[in-house]
Amino acid sequence: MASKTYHVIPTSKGWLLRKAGTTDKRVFTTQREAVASARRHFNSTGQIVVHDAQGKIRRAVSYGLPKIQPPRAGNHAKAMRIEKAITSMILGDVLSPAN
Amino acid sequence: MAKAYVRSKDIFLNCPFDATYKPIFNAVLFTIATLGFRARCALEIDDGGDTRLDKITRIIGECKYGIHDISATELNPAINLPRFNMPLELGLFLGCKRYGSPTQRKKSVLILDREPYRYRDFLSDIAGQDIHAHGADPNHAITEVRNWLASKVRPLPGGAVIQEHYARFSAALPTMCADSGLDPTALTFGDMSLLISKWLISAR
Repeated sequence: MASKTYHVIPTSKGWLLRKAGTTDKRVFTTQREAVASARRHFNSTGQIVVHDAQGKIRRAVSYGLPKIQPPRAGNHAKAMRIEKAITSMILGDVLSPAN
Repeated sequence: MAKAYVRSKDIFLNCPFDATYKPIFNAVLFTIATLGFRARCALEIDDGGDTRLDKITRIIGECKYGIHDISATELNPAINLPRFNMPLELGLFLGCKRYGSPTQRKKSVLILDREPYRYRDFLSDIAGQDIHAHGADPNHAITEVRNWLASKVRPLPGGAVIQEHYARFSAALPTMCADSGLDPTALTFGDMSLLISKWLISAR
């Protein structure tokens, strides 16, 4: 089963919308259009992750999926390192031309 | 003891922490996070000023739910004795539920073991509790935890969906660890919780 996550990433050509783990991609003029299009792609459940130009997650919105609770444990510096690593991995996958 | 504020999304996780049990522990941790809950356990705080029992009783008081795995009954070959921590913590949780404030009495507990009805031979007093077998299989443990939580909160993703997410997370774990400078064989409870929650936000 494919991911239900849609990534919205700014590129030189506009706002790229890509479903994680698939080859589907579209480019929009504005972020708002890309998010609205992503929202239309799933019927009830899914999530939209909006990145900034560096790939860092600016906003993550989920629909019909349980809200992820921040863990009680862990230190801030490590959390930043982990977030950076995961963002880099996800972006590598999403922006890969082979994907 | 100060009055505990019971958090409806917090689940006390009472499981063995050894390497043999790690696959089940991680699968349960992942399921809890995927379903929108927060796992709590004695490993979450490393505070020298807090005795272990103080820490455990405080966390138990704060959690509405508890998952207790009593499957670790093997004898330690060095001392020829089993570990009694899991049954002790289960007893504390059940005591809190039985004798606590009206809010504490609303606690709910899931007891896991490897095989069904095995507990009758070593912990027969818990007969009548919600006891399920995971068969030492992480995917089975995912389904058991999911089905138990689905009876408390609706709607929740199905067990098969969580198993598929867990397989993708497990495949990505070595890369995530390498990129964040963590040793995948020595991840702490905090590291794993962070990795799971950050991955879920960007890739579930």
